[in-house]
Amino acid sequence: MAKYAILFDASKCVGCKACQVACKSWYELRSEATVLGESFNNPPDLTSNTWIRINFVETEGEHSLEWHFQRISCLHCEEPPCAYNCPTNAITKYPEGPVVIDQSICIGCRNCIQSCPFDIPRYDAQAGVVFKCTMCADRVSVGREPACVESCPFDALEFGETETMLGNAKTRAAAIDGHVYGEREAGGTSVFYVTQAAPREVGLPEVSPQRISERISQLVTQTGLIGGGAAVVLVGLEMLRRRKSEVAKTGGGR
Amino acid sequence: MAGIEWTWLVGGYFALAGVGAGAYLASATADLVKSERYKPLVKPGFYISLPTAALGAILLVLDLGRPERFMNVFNSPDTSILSLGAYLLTIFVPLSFVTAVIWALAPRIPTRMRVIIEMLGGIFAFGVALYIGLLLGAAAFRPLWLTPALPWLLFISSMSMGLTAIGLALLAYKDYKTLTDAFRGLHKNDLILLVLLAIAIVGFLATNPDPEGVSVLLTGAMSAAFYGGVLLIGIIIPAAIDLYALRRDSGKPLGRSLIALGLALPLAGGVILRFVILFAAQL
Repeated sequence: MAKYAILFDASKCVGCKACQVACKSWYELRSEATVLGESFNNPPDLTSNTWIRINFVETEGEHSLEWHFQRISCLHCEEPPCAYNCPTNAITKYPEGPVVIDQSICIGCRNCIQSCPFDIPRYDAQAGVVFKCTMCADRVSVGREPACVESCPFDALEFGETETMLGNAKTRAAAIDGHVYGEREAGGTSVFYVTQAAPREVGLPEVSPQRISERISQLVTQTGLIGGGAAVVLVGLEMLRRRKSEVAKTGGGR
Repeated sequence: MAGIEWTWLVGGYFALAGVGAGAYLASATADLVKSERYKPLVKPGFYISLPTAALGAILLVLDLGRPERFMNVFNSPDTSILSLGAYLLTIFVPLSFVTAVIWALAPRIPTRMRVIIEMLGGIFAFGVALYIGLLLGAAAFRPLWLTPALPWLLFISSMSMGLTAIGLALLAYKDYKTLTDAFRGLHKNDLILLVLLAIAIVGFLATNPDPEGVSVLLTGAMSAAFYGGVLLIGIIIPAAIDLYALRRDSGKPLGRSLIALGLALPLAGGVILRFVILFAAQL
């Protein structure tokens, strides 16, 4: 079974937001009320109705102001913390790549939102469940590209087998002296970014390469060690106290 | 950015589950080690544990977007700490109920059965008091919660809350003046727990991987609640009252209102601590 990934080449993106529109259109998601905020970000954040958006980041270049466009959407982690921490198994990582929430199983505990290091899932208070990008699992399953990829007029978004996408990302990053993001983050993802500036400078979060299972087993082990250590100290102190009171008793007879 | 997803229902659950598990552990320990001194504490502790833990579980279900689907948390395979907590609670609350019934029917129930139930209940109470810190630590979007000091901080706070809740119950329904020894023990244990709590707070701050979150606590939006609520109300004032009670020459219990204050403050401090930690990471 082939495994797929998305490649987002920020150096080719012009911020046209065709991907945003294609996503809305394919999933028949409501439009958002326009908000005038910082920069040209619109909508300003992901919502339960907006699963992808292009983030506009301005940085000062050597001679001019530079504009960077970033795809903000699910990275479809190899071991998704959202799925790992979902108490109902409503979230599935498919072998083909997509990480999908089944809203008919979701109980709306929002643990996935607390668990996503990329800040992607969003809660719909009215429906009482959580939504996010599906990597168009429905389209992928019949051999089509995700809607965002198909709509991109500048091929800033590419879709294909994981190894090919990662290889393309690395080649492109080397050519423009840029960076690859998404290969190591959270233990690996199914979306690779090529950025000219350092990912952190263009608004991508710094995410530990640790897998969620490693993170939790490390936390549990450390918690156990602290508890064990504390228990040894407490038992030691109690034995010392008993010995002292015994000494005091026998000492009294002397 | 995702906003404050877990608010007062979750905070309320953390607090109530903390009191319930702490009260159960304190009572079970006192009963299982056959302590004469702490005998008066045992029954009220079990009576507190049941309604607090049960109400806490109800708050947790009410917090869900789709509470009617709560049984889905038992879907397997389970890798989430949230599911682990659901299993712990589902077993702990009935055990707490059985323990309360045993004490209501005592001495008609054989001691051996009581001991077995209390040991089992104690294990699950321990789990309930400890897992909440692990649940928070597993939340990869909130680095403030990622420290092995947090489960123990909340555990110690649970014990402190459980113990002080029992003390308040004793004050309310008995001629407390006859319980000189029990109250001395309460003050002493409360003081020990407050010292441990202070150490755990230092550990939580010192081992924390999130300097931004720590600054929210120490100098930012939550600093008033942290210094005033967690430290002053929750630790410093009640510790001073405990010290005063223990140092009195007569050894007699303090006045009812002063004891009540000394017990209510750590309880309030434990509640504030949970809300402060819950909100500071989500701001």
